Amino acid sequence: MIRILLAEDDAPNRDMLRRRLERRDCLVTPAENGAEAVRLASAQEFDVILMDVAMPELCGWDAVRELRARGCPTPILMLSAHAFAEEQQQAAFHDVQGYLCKPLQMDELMQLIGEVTAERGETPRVTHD
Amino acid sequence: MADESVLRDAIREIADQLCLAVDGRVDFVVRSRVADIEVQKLVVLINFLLDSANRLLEAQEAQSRSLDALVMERSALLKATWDTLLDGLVVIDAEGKILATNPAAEKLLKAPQTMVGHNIREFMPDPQRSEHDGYLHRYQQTGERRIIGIGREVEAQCLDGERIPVRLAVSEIVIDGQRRYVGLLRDIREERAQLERVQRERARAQEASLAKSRFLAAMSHELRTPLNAVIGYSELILEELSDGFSVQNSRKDLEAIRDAGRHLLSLINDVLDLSRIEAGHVELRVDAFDPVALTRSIHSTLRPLVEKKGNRFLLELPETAVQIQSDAGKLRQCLINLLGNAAKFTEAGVVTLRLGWDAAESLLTWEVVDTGIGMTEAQLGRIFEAFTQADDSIERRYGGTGLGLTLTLQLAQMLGARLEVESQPGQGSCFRLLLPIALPTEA
Repeated sequence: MIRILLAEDDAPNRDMLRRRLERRDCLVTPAENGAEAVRLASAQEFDVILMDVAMPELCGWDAVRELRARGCPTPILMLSAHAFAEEQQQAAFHDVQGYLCKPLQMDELMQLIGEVTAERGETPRVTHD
Repeated sequence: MADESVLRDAIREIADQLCLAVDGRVDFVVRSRVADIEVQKLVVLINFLLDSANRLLEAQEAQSRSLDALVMERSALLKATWDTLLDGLVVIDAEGKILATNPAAEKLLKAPQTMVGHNIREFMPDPQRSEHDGYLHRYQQTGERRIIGIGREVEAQCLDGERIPVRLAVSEIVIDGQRRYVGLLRDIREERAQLERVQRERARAQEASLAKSRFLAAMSHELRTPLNAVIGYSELILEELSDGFSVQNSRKDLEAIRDAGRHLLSLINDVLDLSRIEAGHVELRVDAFDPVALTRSIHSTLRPLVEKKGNRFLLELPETAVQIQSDAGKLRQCLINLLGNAAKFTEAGVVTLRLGWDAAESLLTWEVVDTGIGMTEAQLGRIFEAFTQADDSIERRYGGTGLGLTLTLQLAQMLGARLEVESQPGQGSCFRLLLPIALPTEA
């Protein structure tokens, strides 16, 4: 089972994605904003973090910076409704492993999750507190 | 010695030959009856010299006549050019002393007939003013040119101290070993202003294009979020159906799809309204109506919406009815938008719709006051921008497209009205629509 932290502030979209991931043998922990995502990822271990960009409290990119600053090694995939190049280029400036545009395509998302979790399996894990 | 008659013949012969030799070229002015050969020789010679002198004089006169004509022609041309040239001309000597100016130069430098005799540096701002003597001197010593024969844009200083940009071209002439400099000053204020206008227009166009891109990016974002729910929930239901789940369990998911769909529709309607206004496709329909009656009707229409969250909805009106000329439909749309916001952000509070007028100021004022969540100073600065609400979480919690106030502002501007807002976080907000209008004293 792949352990996923899903940070998404829009309730219908969060519940929908959680259920679709659970149908695909994932164990999903939902977070309502960036701050909650940082709290959860610091306390528990996940195989991958799915992070929305536009969120209150702490936006997706700020949450990524905070997690990396705390030494969190978990692969992060950004999910955003921003389809324009400027926003996608942000991915190059942050330590994230992928960027997907909404509306999401499940096949694409599952393939990317498979890739980033497989890569992690090959390299020794850095543990963190 | 030959006898006298032989001698006389000889004299005549020589004289005839001489006459033949200069025939047609010499008019005999001086004659002598003395048949002495020496005398006759002298006579021919004198006549020849006289004639030559005359011819020379005539030739000189002719040449001088054509030279005079040339000089006059050139002078007339120079004077006409000098007087009518739109550019200023200033002639200075090697020390910078002004020897001559044309009318354009005097007009440009606002120094009517007072420039000659002054030094040209008096018409330069610092630091050129203090550097000019050194510059002229250096050029004369070393031939190092900065402007002469090159030209450049400099600032000239008028007699009254005003500085104006000019394009300066300078030529050097030498008269009797004396250097003179002829400077041509072209007023480039209009050219500069034109350039600035073009640059401003370009910047404006770029800003507009940037704003359009931002609007498109924001719209794309706003459309994708509900679309993600529509597509995601539909696919989820289809997946569950293939697994043999009953549609009965999908009720909430279908509601989520419907809500997202409705949100998309209101988004598209608002964007269309906005673009129709911006494209100038929305026209004012001015008619006479009573703003008091209009306000009362809006109050009763929105009562259910405002009172839904346990709010009281107050109406404050002037006592007398009036007739004004404006677009009642657009006023109604503005006020409904403002009241919709007040209702959205207020719970168990009070929403007030107030109409007042000031006949002296010719101003009608509607106020929509609520005791809702209010806004901070920073949030107030953003609320009229498309797709921005006071804060990103507002849309999630309260809904809305983020276009309502943008639309209201556009409509208000069409009506010639001002839209003002005051707010305190936690205290509530007051939106004010001020419509300048000619008010009859009583109706």
